[in-house]
Amino acid sequence: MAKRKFELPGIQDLSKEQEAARALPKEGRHLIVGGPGTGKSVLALIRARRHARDDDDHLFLVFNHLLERASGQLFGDGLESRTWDAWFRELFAEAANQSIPRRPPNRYGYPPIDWEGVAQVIETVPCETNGHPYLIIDEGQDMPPEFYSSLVDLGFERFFVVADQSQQIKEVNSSRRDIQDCLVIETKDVVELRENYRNRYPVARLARAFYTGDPASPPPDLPPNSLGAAPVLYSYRPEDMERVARGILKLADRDPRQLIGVIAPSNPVRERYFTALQSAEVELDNERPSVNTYYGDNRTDVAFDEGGILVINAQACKGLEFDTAILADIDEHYHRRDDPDVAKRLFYVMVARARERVFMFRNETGDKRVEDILPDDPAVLRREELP
Amino acid sequence: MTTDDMFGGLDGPSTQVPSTGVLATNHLNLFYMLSAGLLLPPAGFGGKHYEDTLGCFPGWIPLFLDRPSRKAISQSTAEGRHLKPVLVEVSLAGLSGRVLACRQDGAMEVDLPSGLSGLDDLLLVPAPLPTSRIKSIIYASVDDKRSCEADAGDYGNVPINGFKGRSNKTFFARHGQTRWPPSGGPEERSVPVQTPLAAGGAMAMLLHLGNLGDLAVASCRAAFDPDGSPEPGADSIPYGIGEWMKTGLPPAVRPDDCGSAGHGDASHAFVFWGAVEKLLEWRCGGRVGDAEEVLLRWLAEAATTLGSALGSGIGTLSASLASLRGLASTTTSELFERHPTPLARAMALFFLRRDCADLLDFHHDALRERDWLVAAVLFGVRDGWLGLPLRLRAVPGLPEAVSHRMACMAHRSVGSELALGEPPPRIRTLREMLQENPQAALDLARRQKWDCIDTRISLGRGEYRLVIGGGSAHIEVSGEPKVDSRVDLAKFLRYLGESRLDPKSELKVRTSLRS
Repeated sequence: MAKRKFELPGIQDLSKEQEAARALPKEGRHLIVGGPGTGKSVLALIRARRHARDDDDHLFLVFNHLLERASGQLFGDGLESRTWDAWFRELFAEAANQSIPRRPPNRYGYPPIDWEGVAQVIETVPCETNGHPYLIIDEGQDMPPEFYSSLVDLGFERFFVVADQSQQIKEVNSSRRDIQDCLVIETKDVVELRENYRNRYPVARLARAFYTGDPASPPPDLPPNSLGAAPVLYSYRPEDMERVARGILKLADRDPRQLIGVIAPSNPVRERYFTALQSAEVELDNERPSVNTYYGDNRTDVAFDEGGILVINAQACKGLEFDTAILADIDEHYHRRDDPDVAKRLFYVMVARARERVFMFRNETGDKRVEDILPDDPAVLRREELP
Repeated sequence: MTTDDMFGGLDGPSTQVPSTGVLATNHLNLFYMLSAGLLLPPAGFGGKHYEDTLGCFPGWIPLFLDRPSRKAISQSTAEGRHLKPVLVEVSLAGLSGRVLACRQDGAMEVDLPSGLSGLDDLLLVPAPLPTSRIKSIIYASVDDKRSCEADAGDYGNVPINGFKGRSNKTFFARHGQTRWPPSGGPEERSVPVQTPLAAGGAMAMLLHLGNLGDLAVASCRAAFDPDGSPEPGADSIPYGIGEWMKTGLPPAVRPDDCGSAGHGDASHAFVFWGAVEKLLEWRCGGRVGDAEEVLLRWLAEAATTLGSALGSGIGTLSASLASLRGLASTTTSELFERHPTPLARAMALFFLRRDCADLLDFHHDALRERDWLVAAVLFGVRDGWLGLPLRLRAVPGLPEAVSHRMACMAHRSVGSELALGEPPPRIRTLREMLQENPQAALDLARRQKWDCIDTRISLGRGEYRLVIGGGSAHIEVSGEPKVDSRVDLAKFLRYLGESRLDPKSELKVRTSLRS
């Protein structure tokens, strides 16, 4: 399979604000906020790269295994990364000599951390400021505020947190204010990234159509472009599913190094696309692209350092980056007309995963339930027949 | 005399004519200029120029001939706490023509080199200057040097290692008396750098594809040495590359030039050079919009100009390219089959591959030498020299050769009265060099395991015994037969053309050829 890897940005690619964030000193507590595509994660990876080069004790913390895998594979060898909760549980157990307090299992059967209990125990643990690694925290809005305050109480001093409040999908998370308060960072010291680094103009313009207006986390400025083909919404009949799959496979075949993310609203849709992509008969120039899926406990076979197609659920897409994002069966996403912001936030995050292109698919037999949040302007979203 | 000599004494500036001058800037502006291959005016920084001494007289490079003043250094780091001051020592050797020399009593126009008196404090030299003139980069401390060099490693295109760096506290601590900014400086000069940067990108790409065949070699020669080389391929699109490099203007081919000398199929040449021109306009306009969109618009315009028969072909191509922006139902092979001309295939590649590095990594059996060459120019223009990652600049001598030529093109295009001296020699393709050096060709063929080696074993008179056993056969002879291996040149050149040597292998071959 064709290889993809993290490419260092060119000097012309980073804005002055990104360079200021990149140049922040190693010591101290830093918070960098910005909308999707502003290059937060790139800065975090550059930071980790620098620590690795200088042989510093450091750790790159991410929200989930998928992100850990994506960051690690794109970074190449040597990224010292962990998921935040697994690492924190170990840290707590070592510091307090007991396992972390838990609350009763939630609706998914997972017993969340009992942060009150954690705080009580940490009060009794001597605060040790030496010997802690530099922490680089990606998607910092997804960790709870208590995580940050616990680390400070345990004596951690060196933070580089990148976050975006407008990308919250999970229930437990931190606002920008929470992170500032916990890490005692003054507002004037927060670095705000406003310029779009990742998305091409048409992608950024579509993402902006779903922005819900959170003043704490403004959307990135549109890239300085005014041209470009708008993303496309294709409607298809169920019997055309194989044509849809063939189109996606040919797209992958034309550039075997690109990673295409097919983002599904539910497990049945994810399964349907995955199966169609695996079984569709199609003539291609190259070896058939790898088609992988990821859900729940299935953590195998996901390669972010190779081109191919990854079929995932919407909840798993945050923080990931694809060359092309394909939003499958968009009308099956949760959406209430009296509260459109929930769906809009989700579409904002999904669209912004794409660097180059976005395609949406609508099953014609569906109820067109998200139509009211889709932009009407064909310059922002074109509606076309399947080729 | 170098800056060490100049600034070494405590008695003020020497009265000797200097051979170097010093630009005061900050490390991030320096990084940008190293990437661009040019010491640039602020307008060339793509909106990312940090305030420094270059901003005082836009279009001019201020070179201190004495230690820079405190004000000049502090100005260069005023915009951000993270900026570090750097001094760039620039060679004046070989420069000739009109510059401004500033002394205590004011600024005056002088001719280099004869007009320098030894009493000048500062020169204002028309921008740009090639970074190949940089003698050294001077940092305020060892820590600054270390930190800046590490910083450069955060980018994919800052060639800091190609320049001599040193630290010297004295330059920064003992400030010169030169008044900054000098009074009576010149007016702003408008300096076009986007076309030279595009030309630099095209030069590099033609070199990287220069092993494909004789037309590729001729195109590369014309790009680097337009005065001494004929235009390549009288009946094909690369014709005109030399003219572009010489004048800075793409050849103005008219669609009714069909059959006129040089341009072969004039309609294709018209569309190609028109596309180059549109891409140059796009660069000069701040790269607003997608380059692909620029090409689609140009194709629509060209189709109208060319009229029904020729225009419909262009229209079909345009429709195919536009479909690639959606979920097109074609494969790359089908696309190349449908569009067999070099122009069409190069344009298809433009939509299919992201950048120069991506193009060079691509292989397709249907692509021919001309397809690649046309694509090389389009991609080079899109990315420009600035957009090339370090691995595409890693050919020895290439950065110097390109940097000098880009600067010359910029000066020619505005009729500047500054001459930059003898250009560094053009970079020859491996195809040219290896044809002249059979042993190096043989070594490369062996390393690459190319099936193009013929061996002659000269045996003396006698009896030879064929021994077969153990799954192999060998001949036993008395004495030592002469074994002579050589490459089958035609086969070797075919392998060389079809392979893309990685930068390390290419460096190895070039180093062995140099020695």
